[in-house]
Amino acid sequence: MSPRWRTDALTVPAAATLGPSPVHTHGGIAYLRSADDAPRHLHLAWHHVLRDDEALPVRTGWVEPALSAAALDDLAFAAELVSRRAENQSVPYGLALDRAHVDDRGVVKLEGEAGLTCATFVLIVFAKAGIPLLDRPTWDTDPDDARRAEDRVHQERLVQHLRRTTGAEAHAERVANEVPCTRFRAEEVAAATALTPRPVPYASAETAGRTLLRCVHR
Amino acid sequence: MRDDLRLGDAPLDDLPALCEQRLGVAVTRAQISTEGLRAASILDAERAAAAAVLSMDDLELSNNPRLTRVCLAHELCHLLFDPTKPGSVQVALDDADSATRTAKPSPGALLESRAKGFAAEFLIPHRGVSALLGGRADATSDRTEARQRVSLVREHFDTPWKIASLHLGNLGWIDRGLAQQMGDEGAGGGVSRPLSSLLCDDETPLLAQKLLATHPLDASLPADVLTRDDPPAWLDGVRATAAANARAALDLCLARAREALRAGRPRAAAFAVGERLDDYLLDADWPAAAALLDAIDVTEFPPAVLTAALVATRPVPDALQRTRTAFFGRAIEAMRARGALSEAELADIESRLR
Repeated sequence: MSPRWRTDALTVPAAATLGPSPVHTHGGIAYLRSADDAPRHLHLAWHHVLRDDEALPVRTGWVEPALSAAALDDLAFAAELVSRRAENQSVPYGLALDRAHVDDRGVVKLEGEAGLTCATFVLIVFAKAGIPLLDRPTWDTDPDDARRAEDRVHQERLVQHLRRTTGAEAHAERVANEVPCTRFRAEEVAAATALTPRPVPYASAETAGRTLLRCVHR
Repeated sequence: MRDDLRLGDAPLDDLPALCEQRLGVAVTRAQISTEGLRAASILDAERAAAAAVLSMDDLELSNNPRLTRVCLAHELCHLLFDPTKPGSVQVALDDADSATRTAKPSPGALLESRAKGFAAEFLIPHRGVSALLGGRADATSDRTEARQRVSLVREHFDTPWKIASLHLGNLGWIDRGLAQQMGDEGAGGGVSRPLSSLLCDDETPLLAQKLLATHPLDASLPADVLTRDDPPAWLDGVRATAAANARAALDLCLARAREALRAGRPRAAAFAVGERLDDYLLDADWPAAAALLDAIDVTEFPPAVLTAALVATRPVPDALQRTRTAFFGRAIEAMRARGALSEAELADIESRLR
């Protein structure tokens, strides 16, 4: 089943978002705030820029999730929990994802990694709600050479952007050492929220991710 | 403790004098050779003699009497409330970073966390704050308003900016996120009054001076001065009050959840409970988190509240493992008995949140 990308008002408690970005695509989590059902958008915008915005950016939509009602409530709750500390959780940008998670005190814990991408940030918020989205080892084994080369180019561009970010010059060198590494694309993460069973393997998420990409760039 | 010592809600004036004259805790400033050690407290095996030692090498401490007040209140908490082992001397050490460092989960961290909380509330009592600021706590997220409140409280209660900011966040007068941010910002400003009777470096504590005045060193000190088998009578009362306050915070959280349910907002109810748990976890206050899980009546609250409690405590801290496992069992059983969820939905919750 193809994922549905919607740009109308959010009709579920929470969902993954996807939109264009200068470097490819950008993803986050849209959720309805528990106190007043106001729509919010939690996303890692860039290096040390974890945002909880009032609205989705232009041309950004949400993906109809294939999650139970209870899981959607829990995801919205997890997003709101993380967002209430957004001002204090200074999350750096990084490419490799190994053991980063939200720890037993609700703090985003990097466990030695340089930081997170917008997509891996979404993954760990879903994980906080007990929703393992991706069959991550298949991203290590299944992509072909062309895909890996494309990912490497993309990652090098991100490092260049980091080098041009004020105050992130030294951090950029640390991130540069992570290249090349497994890349979970924002559209694949968003697509996986619409697929079952989970965790979703690379092949399914990649195909569904391309469908979403066409919607975003239409 | 303020009630027991009849201190009311006013600013504490001379904290060293209070420690020495009312509580029998000797206060001294001394050279401490351990690098980075800011303060220490020591309680003898019989709970007969206690002392708080402040480093005279700590520049920040020397230059900031307000910080000294916080350190003293912090050490007082260690002396009064840290668990003691019969027959053992108890020592608490606090380095310069401990005031700002986030505690890692451990029994020692819990004691540190409690000492920080005690120091803040002892110096800035919530009733005193209400009287000073007037009206009701409204957790302002307006930075200008928040800074005015912190400034007022800091001047009135004579504390550092950081502790005033964080405590106003905890008491609900400033948005917690903003309070933390402002605490890190700090603020300049002088000191409203000197620390009064705190001694000069290396001087004999006032308490010891008094003892020595009446019982010179060449005479034997009477046994009843230095031995006291039982803790002071008011200590149990203070502990009971602390437990009652913790229970009140928990009841308030559940009352808010019920109110949200009555308003038809189960997700708001879930957040009220989950947010409180999240606060406890951030503070590594595992006993409080466990007490809240135990207090949730699983037959009263809908699945959204029960699963929020499970999400908030996931991954499960070691110290909460047993309580959470029991809560999980009760919650699943209650959801099943209520019949609102299908077996597939229950299985989904079990696989996600166990």
